Amino acid sequence: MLSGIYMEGRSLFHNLDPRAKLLWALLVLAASIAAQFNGLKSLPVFISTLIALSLSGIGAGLAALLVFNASVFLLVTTLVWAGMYASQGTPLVTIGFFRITDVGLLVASGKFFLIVNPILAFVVFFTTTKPYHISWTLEKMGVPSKLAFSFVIALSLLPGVVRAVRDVTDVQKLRGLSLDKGSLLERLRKHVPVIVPVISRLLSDVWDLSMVLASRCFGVSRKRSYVEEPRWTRRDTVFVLISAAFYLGVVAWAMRP
Amino acid sequence: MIVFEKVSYQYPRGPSAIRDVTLEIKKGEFVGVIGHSGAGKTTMAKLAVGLLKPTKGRVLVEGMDTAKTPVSELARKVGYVYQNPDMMLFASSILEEVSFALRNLGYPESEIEERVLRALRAVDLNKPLSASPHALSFGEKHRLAIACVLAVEPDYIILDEPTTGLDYYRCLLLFEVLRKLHQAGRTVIVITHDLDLLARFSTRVIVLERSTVIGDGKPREVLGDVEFLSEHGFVPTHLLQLARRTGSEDLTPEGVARTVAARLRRQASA
Amino acid sequence: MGNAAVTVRNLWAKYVGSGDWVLRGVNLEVREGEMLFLMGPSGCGKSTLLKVLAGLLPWVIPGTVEGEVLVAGVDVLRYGYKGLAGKVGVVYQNPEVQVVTRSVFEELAMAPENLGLPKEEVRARVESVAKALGLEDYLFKDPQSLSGGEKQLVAIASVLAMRPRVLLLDEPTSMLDHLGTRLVLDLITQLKREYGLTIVAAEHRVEWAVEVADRVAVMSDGAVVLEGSPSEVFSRVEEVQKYGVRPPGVSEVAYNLVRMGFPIRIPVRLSEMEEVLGGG
Repeated sequence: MLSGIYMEGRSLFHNLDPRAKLLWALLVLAASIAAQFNGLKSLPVFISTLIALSLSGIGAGLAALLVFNASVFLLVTTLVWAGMYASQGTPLVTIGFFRITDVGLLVASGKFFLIVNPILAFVVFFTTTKPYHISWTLEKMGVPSKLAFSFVIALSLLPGVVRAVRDVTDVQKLRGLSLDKGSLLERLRKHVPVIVPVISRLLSDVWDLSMVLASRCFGVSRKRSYVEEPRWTRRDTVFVLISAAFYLGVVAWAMRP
Repeated sequence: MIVFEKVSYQYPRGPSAIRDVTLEIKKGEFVGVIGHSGAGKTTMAKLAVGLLKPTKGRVLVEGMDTAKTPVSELARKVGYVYQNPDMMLFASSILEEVSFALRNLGYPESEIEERVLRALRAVDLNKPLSASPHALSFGEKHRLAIACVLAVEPDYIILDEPTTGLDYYRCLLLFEVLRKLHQAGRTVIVITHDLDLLARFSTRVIVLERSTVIGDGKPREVLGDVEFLSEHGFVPTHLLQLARRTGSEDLTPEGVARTVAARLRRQASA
Repeated sequence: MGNAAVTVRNLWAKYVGSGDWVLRGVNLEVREGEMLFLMGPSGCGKSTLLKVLAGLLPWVIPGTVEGEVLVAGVDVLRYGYKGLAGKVGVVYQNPEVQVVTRSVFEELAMAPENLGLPKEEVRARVESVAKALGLEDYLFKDPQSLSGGEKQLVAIASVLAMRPRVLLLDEPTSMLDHLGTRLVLDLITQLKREYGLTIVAAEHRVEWAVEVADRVAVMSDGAVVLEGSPSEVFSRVEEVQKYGVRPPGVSEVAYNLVRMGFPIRIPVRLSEMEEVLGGG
């Protein structure tokens, strides 16, 4: 899966025009920003991203994984923000001098969704859109050709880095390196024998890659052509209209005092 | 001895990389392992050093079961030199690099510098201990990587495609170093594509194909069997073909020349 | 074979940050349709020479280059790889770095797309190159899942999609196993015979050189020290060895025979050795 975030598939989201998807992800972001002080109003947005995840063929499994990993984050956010709003609203829970009020809880959940919703939305975007089409979309939005295509290129380096980390860790383990013992600082230092060769490998790959790309005339023509151009269909229009109605509705609701 | 007892290894979500392999590598051998990509060579090497544990069967290194022994313990017996030295070198001085394993494995400080110097001598690397590994040439880095493994003085040393990126004469130099190690009593196991080098230096050649061993014997039996090599997709060098053609048992240019000379003399006197 | 496809006159080159010149006064000419092998030990400069010919040094790789270099009619030192615009294709050693995309189709389309060619033209080129190299069944596969040899094939195809006039090869098989090597060598041999491409290859594989090369140039310390047909060059066993190049196995055997007192001509090919053995 890590060899490029894109996953092959035929889901609803895979078949949407990348511009529609990007717009959707940005709408999710906008709605989450608007509702950041009230988790209740951000909840529908969260649910919509979960629906999107399942409509992308990624399924509940990954969603559950992401949410589970986020639970620690949720706990921390709750405590921080609830603490900041401890003086407003009616107290719900009191532990010692620590007070969680209803307002506090709403703000905490709102902030949590502010981070999680857009992340999930962009995960959906990246896993259902080929890097090639992401570059195309960026170019359509006015990003210079070379920069837009750099995206595809950067992603192609990822498998190499993943493999390098695995191989280097193996080799250093054979030299007696144990990464799981010691204090935090010690463990960080112990990672140097892994980090240095991996970075060295990454730099050498980037070097080689820049030569390969130049040999393939990267940047020779100012306007790159794309053989497989996505076509905007009626389905995309419908999707965008529904999304706009929903998310802008949430924004309006959230902005009401 | 390194023993493989009916060993199979299956990648978690993939095909089997090794199927039912049984073999023994005794002390004092110079073994060459050949096979196409994906045949299982690197998997076998990783099984021998304990980086991978067999899904079936067991691997014993000097009687220790690799599934039950920590990797660092096994490292004292079997050294593994990775294909690309840049993947293991990280330190700011040669001393630090070569002594890395020694420190991790708890060797006493008093022994360390001596072992480092011995290891560097064994690979013919005459650079000051304070020199930076990054300033070395590619061939020197290779030898440094070997020194890092040698510092622990393992009885067995496995090299995974050490000839990549080296020209012929540097390969010869490297194999001369390996020969020295072999003569000093170590068991050398080399995974390589270079048939002529194995013909010259090895005492045994193992052929892997699609997860099983399809050939195992003396170099003149395995590498001399040009038809067998071609059938299995290998490209026998012209030297090996000529050796086959002339019936020479010695697969080196000097040896083949002697065989041809004998034949020409017979023809002349006939 | 008529005009010069590659002309190099008094070429000096070095990389930034290095005091020493890597190329010292290289003079070379390659005619159209010719296949020239550059041979020599590591550090002799063959890889650097290819980078200059490809317009990468000093355009992508910083360094200092002086002299005159004309490739496919383009003054490379002045215009760089952009000036070559697809006239020169380069294939590198490492198959892993040469596959950038997630589908073979995208990979083959990349160079023509970078050139800004119209969609139909790009599509036509991808199809014709896939057909020529037998890659039709591979078009929608993920190149990352292919073997090393297959990846090199895809790399060669992506380069051919530019319809180059000159092909530069930097040890294309040194990281491949025997199967992959055979695949790639057969293809290149076929390309030479069928398409009359001018090919300059930096190579170690002497035994392949004697079968396909028109000319061989041995480099040492940044200059060309021996040049000629494979037979002319490799029969000079001692000289070739002195310059760090391994002569063909049969030449080494013959050389040993000569030193033992047999006055034979030194062959470079296996078939020639048969003659020496008297067909007996």
